[in-house]
Amino acid sequence: MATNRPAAVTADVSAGASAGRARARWRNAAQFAGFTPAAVLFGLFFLVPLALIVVYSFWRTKDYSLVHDWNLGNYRTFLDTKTYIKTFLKTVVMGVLATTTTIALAMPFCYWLVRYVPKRLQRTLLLLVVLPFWTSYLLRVYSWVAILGDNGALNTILNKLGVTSGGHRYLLYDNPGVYLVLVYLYFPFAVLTLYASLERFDWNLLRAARDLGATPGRALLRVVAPQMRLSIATASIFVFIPILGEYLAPQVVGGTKGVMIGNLIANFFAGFLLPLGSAASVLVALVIVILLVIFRRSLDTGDVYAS
Amino acid sequence: MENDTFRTTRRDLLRNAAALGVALPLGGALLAACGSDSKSSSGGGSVTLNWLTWSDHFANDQLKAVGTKTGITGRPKLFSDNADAILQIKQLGDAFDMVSGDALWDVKYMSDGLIDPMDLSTIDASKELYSVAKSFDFWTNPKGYLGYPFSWSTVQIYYNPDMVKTPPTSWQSLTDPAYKGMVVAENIPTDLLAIAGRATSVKDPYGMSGDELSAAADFLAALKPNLLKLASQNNEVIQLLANKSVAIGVTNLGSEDRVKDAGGPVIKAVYPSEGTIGFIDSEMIVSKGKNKERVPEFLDAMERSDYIAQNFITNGRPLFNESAAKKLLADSKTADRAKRLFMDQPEKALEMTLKGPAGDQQAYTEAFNKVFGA
Repeated sequence: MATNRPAAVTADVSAGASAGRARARWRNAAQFAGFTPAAVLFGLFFLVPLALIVVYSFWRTKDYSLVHDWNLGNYRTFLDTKTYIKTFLKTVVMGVLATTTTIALAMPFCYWLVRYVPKRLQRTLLLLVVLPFWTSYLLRVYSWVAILGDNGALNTILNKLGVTSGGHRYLLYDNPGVYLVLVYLYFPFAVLTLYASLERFDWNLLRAARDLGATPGRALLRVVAPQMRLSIATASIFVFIPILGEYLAPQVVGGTKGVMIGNLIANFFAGFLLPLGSAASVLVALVIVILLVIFRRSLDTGDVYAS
Repeated sequence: MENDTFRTTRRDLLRNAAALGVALPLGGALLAACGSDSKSSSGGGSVTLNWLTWSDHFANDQLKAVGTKTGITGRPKLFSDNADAILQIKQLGDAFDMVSGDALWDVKYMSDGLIDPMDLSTIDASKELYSVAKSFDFWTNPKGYLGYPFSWSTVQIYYNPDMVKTPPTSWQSLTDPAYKGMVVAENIPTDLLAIAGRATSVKDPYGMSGDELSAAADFLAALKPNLLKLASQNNEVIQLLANKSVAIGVTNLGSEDRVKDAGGPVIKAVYPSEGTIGFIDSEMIVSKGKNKERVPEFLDAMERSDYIAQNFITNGRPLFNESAAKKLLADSKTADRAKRLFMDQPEKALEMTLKGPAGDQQAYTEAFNKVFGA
């Protein structure tokens, strides 16, 4: 039939189809318009700097100048130096300990909040948890010096109670001080993530498990825990990854004993060793990527409900 | 009903998101424009000079007064140490018009083509400087003087006599186990290794390599248990001495006054028997600076004796302004401090090992990190 159409009609149909395709293409493109701000921010402030760091890590410095001499020397230097590896491993251990503690503290807190606190009070208590965010990060770290320091709040209270006398320092300028401050700094991140998940939890499932004879512990382990897997994994990522890059907390409260890999990287950059600092940063990022790949299964929501 | 009130169609969402996408870069550009100068002129008019410096090189009141008088607003950006500053000038040269630097670092800036030497005679305020400060060999160049002389100080040991039974006498004595966790120093890897070089009797503490550098690193390793922390700023050293968190500080001249001003105890100075390092600092003109032609005029206003005398009172270390020294010595309230801190003896600045870049920066930073890593 189409072969009997006049040429003008065919041309119209063809033009109409072409316009339709153009509109479809525009619609398809427009669908991604909402992604534009994120793409601009993500590209400019994350991907470009990351690419620069990767490129720098293959160069070297000579006499306070960058030499564009592509090589793996910086990676070799980092991996061959026991102190760097030891500091990095210590950072990972500190991250694991602080993350575990943070989640171990946040979990019962959120459970109590969701199950036993009236809804309107929950918001107030959550607000109190995130209240420290209203002050600067620097101030939050320095406040611990005022609490744990020689003439700090804790020492003053203990002096007044007659437990101690004179100036004493507690945990400060050592690894336990860094650990304590990290737990304090990242506790709200864990709480917000876990609360969001527990708030939506169907507690009838727990009751059903109890009705069917499960002990409270077994019910928590077999019913609540599997459904919390996703949020625990997310909270772990939110807490552990920033800790790996921590610089300020160990600098302020760690002293010479509480050094983490971020402090060594800062020294590299301050000493104009941009390539070596970049290589160390890339290696840290690499560990993070590996961890994210491992966590990927935990982040698969389908698995949680399928199991 | 509530849903109807706030209903947003997908088209609205996309349109708003796209608008936001356009607005963000525009907003950024607008902010950048607000942050930059209205003029990039070489003569007259209001202008902003971007100045990479230390916090003790200016006072906010001083900047305000100079801005009102000359139309030149100094906008300081702080840096931690010389290596940090030279890095920023290399990477962002045209973002700054002026940079502060120590002694032999100025020579490094010059050899790397980062600064323009200046003719001190064109800056009227330079008549107030000690003549010795206008003729340092290391800053004299056929094209001009590398920097405008500002202040100087040795780095020495200060201790709290109430907390230390046996006072330290040398750098080596700081490794005494009796001082465990009682010492604080600034986190400047190159300078700490240079101090270690002095402690191990090296001739050129900024040019060490091989065995000399290993011996210096060993000294730092022996000192490490005694170091409570490496402070990120000199103010932190003062604070730790003032609140008695540490008994011994490795810090600049005048720290005894600053500790006292901070409500702390009386501390005493010790000039280490092996000698020490120190700084002679200056203001330099950044060769790529957009408004560098206005720097001499700015310095002429900033470096006047009244401001410099006040700077001495606030920061307590000697400066090279002779007129300011005379004023301080003539005033009974400040005379003792000015005399004690060598405000009238600028030639003493040449007795110390001057701060400068390390011969092999990578070796220095790595040696430092190997000691202070976990």
